[in-house]
Amino acid sequence: MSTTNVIVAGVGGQGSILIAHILGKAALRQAAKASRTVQVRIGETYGAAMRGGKVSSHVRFGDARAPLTMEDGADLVIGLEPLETLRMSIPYLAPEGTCIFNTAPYMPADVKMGRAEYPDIDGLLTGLRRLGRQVISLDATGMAQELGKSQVMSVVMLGAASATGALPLDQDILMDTIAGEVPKGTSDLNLRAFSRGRSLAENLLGTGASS
Amino acid sequence: MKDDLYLAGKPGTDEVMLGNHALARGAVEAGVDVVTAYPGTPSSEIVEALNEVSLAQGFHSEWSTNEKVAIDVASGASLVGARALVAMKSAGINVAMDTFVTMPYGGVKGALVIVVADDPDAHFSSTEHDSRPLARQAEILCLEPADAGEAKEMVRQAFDLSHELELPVLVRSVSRVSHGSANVTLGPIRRDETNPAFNKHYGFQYRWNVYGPPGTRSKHEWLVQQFPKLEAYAERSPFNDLKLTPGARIGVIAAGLGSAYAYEAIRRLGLDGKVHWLKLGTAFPLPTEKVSQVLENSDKVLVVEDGTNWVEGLVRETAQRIGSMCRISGKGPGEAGEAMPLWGEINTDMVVRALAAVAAVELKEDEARRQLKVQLEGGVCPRSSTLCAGCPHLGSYWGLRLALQRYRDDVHILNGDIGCYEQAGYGIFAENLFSGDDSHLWKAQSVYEMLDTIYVMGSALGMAQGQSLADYKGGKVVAIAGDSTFYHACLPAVANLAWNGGQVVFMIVDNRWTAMTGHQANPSTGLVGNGSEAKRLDISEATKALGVEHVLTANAYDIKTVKSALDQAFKLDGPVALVISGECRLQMIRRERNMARPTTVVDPDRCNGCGLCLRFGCPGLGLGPDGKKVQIDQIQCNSCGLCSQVCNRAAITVQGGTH
Ligand SMILES: Cc1ncc(C[n+]2csc(CCOP(=O)(O)OP(=O)(O)O)c2C)c(N)n1
Repeated sequence: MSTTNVIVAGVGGQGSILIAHILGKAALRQAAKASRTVQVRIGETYGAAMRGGKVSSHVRFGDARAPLTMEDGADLVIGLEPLETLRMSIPYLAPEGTCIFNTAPYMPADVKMGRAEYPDIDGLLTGLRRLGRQVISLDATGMAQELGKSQVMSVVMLGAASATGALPLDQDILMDTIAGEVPKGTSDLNLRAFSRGRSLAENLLGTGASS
Repeated sequence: MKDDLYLAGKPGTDEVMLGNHALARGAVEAGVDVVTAYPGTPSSEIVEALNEVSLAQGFHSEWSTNEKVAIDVASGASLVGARALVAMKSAGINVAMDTFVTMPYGGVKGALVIVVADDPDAHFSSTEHDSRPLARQAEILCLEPADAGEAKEMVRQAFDLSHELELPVLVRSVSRVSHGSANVTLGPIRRDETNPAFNKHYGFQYRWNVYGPPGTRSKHEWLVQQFPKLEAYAERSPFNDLKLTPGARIGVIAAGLGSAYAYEAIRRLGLDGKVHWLKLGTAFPLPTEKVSQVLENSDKVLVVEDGTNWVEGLVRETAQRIGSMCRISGKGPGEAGEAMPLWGEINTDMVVRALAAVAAVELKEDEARRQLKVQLEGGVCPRSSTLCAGCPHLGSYWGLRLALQRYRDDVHILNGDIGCYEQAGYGIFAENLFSGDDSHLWKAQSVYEMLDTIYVMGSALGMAQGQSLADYKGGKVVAIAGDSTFYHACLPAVANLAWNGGQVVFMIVDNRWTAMTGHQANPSTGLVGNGSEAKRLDISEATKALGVEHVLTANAYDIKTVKSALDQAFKLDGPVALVISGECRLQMIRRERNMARPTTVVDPDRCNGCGLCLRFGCPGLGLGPDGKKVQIDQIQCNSCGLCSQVCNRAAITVQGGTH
């Protein structure tokens, strides 16, 4: 059995841990549906309660044992913040891998204080395109705000990721899992966010409505 | 955390569970009676989860004031027959060490399971400390899980083992297990009542009194006599797995999380079924028989483990004992080509390189890709961590900065303790800072460059006192600690200061929570761990009672009060304690969700872009798109009003609401 490796990269509070857990649980359901067993591993580092630090998760399922993806091993990078997407893609994005890229930056304190410069987004995208096979960039933060809540940005990104073929998980299983994992009373909004992200990516990829 | 995993999770079902929640579930399945802990990343979620379900499940669960107290409470419970669990981070076991190494002399009656979460790579810790060698020091069993699923099972079985062996059992987790998630198969929850009973001469005389006749040495003799039972367990433990491969001449011995990386590395190199494999779940003692079999059948053995080279050392001992000529390698220099250094954490790539070196497998390198990565890395800028927007510590530090300005040419020593406020020593952006000169004056550009020393919980005050008593006169000597740290390890240091003296200003920044580790309750909160209301202890009263003559107070959200208290403190003779109060803004907002929130605004006509407020360091402030004037990030801003006090030009104001 092969292993699917996903990295969710972002900043504390953006929802990377939620997305990682949705993926992990969906993988378990997907296997149960096919009466298979699957080994799921999620690797995270989060420490201080302080906000705004780097938070990224490794999600692995299949014949996984280790909590961390190997170098050049990520089939998919879900990048919630441009700088953090680059930071995690350099070591991990596979040459054959896909990267979903949210274009909205979350400025580090170093930049806010005028002591470092934020990389240019276009340059950053060019770099990513050289590292992996396909990069899909979208303003997920803007879409989430249009939907009424910036917190659903990560689910927009998950929707986009689900359209790329890099995730061997059924759409209905993902949607059921989302509904079960997000805070009570927000599941409709989150499912709309998922669908928005998904159809945007489908349009970008020219795949139309496939499942 | 989801209650249903603890109360309604059906036995036999698989869940993807956080390692720390799995460790907690293991205790619930084992029918735990008493749970104690002091929070510490990466261990805190274990007892956070148990606190949450304790009332419903009918067991006692608490945040204790420190790890020494926690292990004592849990040990006491085990003597009357309770099944007790104590959890802590790596540093915590050092605090608990006296009890940890002494307790086994009488052992336990109920059960005592000690969970320590180590932190290889020091993601959130002062050191990369490895707890496994401490099991040898204490002469007890140490289990080491590879993932959450095994973590749950190990804790569950550790209770029975502890009871059977009549000794505490150490379970050593690491960050990647505690904060990682994996498949966990739920088991049934044991629910039988423990009837506490006490017998002073239980099993042998003066059982619970190391000094009781015939004396301490005889207790140690008893303990040593138990060791063969531990060895026998290691040999039959379901957590150790030996697979010998006929004809193979290379062996891999992999412990705990190391076995997860080794499993994948072996497959990556196509060596599955071509090497001998010993997966270890007992990190002390080792199953010597199984280790011997690997050694006898191999020319070379690679030991894979996360932490120090502890298991490697034990394997070498076995090799020496049986006269094996097998070449053993692991961490550090050697046949594994230094692929796994003695610092930091390991990963699958490192194990692949180590095993390839040992097994003489050639690895391909893509030079063009390597160069591309080096080039792209040049464009990655750092993301330094900061205090939160509206953090009361920002007010305390700014007041300190203002008070020290009057002595601007002196070399002050600001000793920081452990907590969110230690961020003031994290620095911003790595610059090359080095000077061999004595008493060099470094000007801090922001609050994040203010602290001069940071070590471990409770040490700031003693360090400061030492500097003063060594007659350091180059500047002011200050120590800074939080409320949780105050009750954890500062009390003896305060008594020492009052008693032995010293020209020290001790700032206690009381935000009412153990904030850094995730906002747990402490004696300053007014709640206990399970959320019930409790007495709120007063830090000023405590310092006075311990004999400090000058005890001052200030409000962190009113910078003037901090500055004027410090102005006074720096002129007083002898030790001064200054208690600065101001609740953690995040907790205050969570509680008062419906509070009308004021808005902080910058008047662009008044802001001249001087950057003073940026040095203040609140992440809610930044330069606007023009790069000249300051702008408030309204998503982050928590409307505390501190920045309006920092601005010299009254360009920042707080409007509306109640703050
Ligand atoms: C011996 C030990 N135990 C636990 C910890 C984990 N720890 C790090 S910071 C901290 C919280 C300190 O709380 P407090 O002093 O109130 O400061 P705050 O974070 O609230 O500002 C704890 C418990 C540690 N570093 N060392």
